[in-house]
Amino acid sequence: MSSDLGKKTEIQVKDLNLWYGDNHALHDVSINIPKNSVTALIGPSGCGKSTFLRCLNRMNDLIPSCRIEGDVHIDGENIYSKNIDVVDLRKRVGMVFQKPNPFPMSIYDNVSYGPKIHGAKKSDLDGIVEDALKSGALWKEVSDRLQSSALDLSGGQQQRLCIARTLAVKPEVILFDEPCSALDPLSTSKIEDLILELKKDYTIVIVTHNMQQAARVSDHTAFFLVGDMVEFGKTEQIFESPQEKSTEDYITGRFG
Amino acid sequence: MTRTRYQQNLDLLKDNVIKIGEEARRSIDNAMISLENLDVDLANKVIEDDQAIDELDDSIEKCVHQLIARQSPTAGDMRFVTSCLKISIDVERMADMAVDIAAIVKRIDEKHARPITEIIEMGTIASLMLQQSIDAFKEIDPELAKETSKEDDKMDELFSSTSREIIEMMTNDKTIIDNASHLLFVLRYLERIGDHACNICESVVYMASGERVYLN
Repeated sequence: MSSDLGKKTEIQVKDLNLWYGDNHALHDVSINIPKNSVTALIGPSGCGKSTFLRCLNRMNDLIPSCRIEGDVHIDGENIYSKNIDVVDLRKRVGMVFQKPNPFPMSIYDNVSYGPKIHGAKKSDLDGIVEDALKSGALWKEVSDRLQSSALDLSGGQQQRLCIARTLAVKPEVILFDEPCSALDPLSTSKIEDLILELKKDYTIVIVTHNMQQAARVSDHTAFFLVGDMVEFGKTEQIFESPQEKSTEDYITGRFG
Repeated sequence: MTRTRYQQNLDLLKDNVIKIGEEARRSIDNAMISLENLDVDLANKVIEDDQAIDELDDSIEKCVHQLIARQSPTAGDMRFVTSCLKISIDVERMADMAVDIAAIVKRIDEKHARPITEIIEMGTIASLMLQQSIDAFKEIDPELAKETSKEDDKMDELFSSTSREIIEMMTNDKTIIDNASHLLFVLRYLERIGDHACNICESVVYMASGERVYLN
């Protein structure tokens, strides 16, 4: 199924197929993900949504049995072409995972790690760290203890640190893979507010099992089922009048 | 089937909306019979019965709030739940119109003049529109809803022609002004009942398809 929602496209996926060994995990997925917006990927476990997300920064390359066909263009460039530098790609397409995964080092070093690797000047690092922590809505809580261990932060703070760490290398796209599933409602709401703030500057794709979260934060929603992208549309349409019965069954909790 | 309790609550909500529709229709029918026969006892019954209808409306509202708060309905369920709330409000207002007609019956103390035939006809159409709109809700039948709303044109024509006739009669015979002006109010209430039935039909179409239509 293909979809085009008319806004300027940041990520263009065409006829994407993916196999894990003999398992055909994604079938002919085509989708245009609009720039500066939040796109939610929903669907039951094993439907392919996280696999699809990982295709957008070639995280699946790390799985030996994985084979991919089709095109993924980001800002007009085919990210599966041979001359793509995958390290640079992952700088452009940042990722935040389900479980916060700060490095076992200070808050400052967590955020400055990426820019340092990518060649930032030492004299610029203080400013980069401050900007990233401010954009990650964490600065006020940690500005007086930047040298403390990141592992001493709460779960919600650690997740915002991971977002700040991603922002520090100035990506174009941020992928979120169930970023709030390990967080309490207050931390969840802080992350959701942050996502809404970040979409002004970034294109965001989020995998979530929480229907209400998808409804709250996303502009567009794609529903996946056993490797197919069944439906893609504006979130208000998907949650008010989905066109496909399986979408309706899933979001109203009537599967099974 | 998953979410058994959720489905039970949705079913209960549907039953209650059908029930309030039936109760309101009975009130409209009784109000019209009481008008036709100048039956004050029946008019009083219409007024008394309204309390049960108000309570049913309250319980529908509570049920909707609970479903939203606890079950977060989406898609077709969300359209169903919000439509139930709107339909219940419309039906409750229709029942209030029946009470207003019953209150007028208690104030009329003479035999009426000829336009009563048209008024009774409007009452019959109003009752039928309510019945059909609730049937359309029950069967989730947008076509029946659209058909039902067309009856409102007849109501509007009857309202307009009959009110002209009553005004003419009042001009010719000033002794009937009291009763005739009461009848003008009855006409207005019946015309409003038709409008509320159209609102219900619009809710049914939205509930069934997500399409927002204006049928009134």
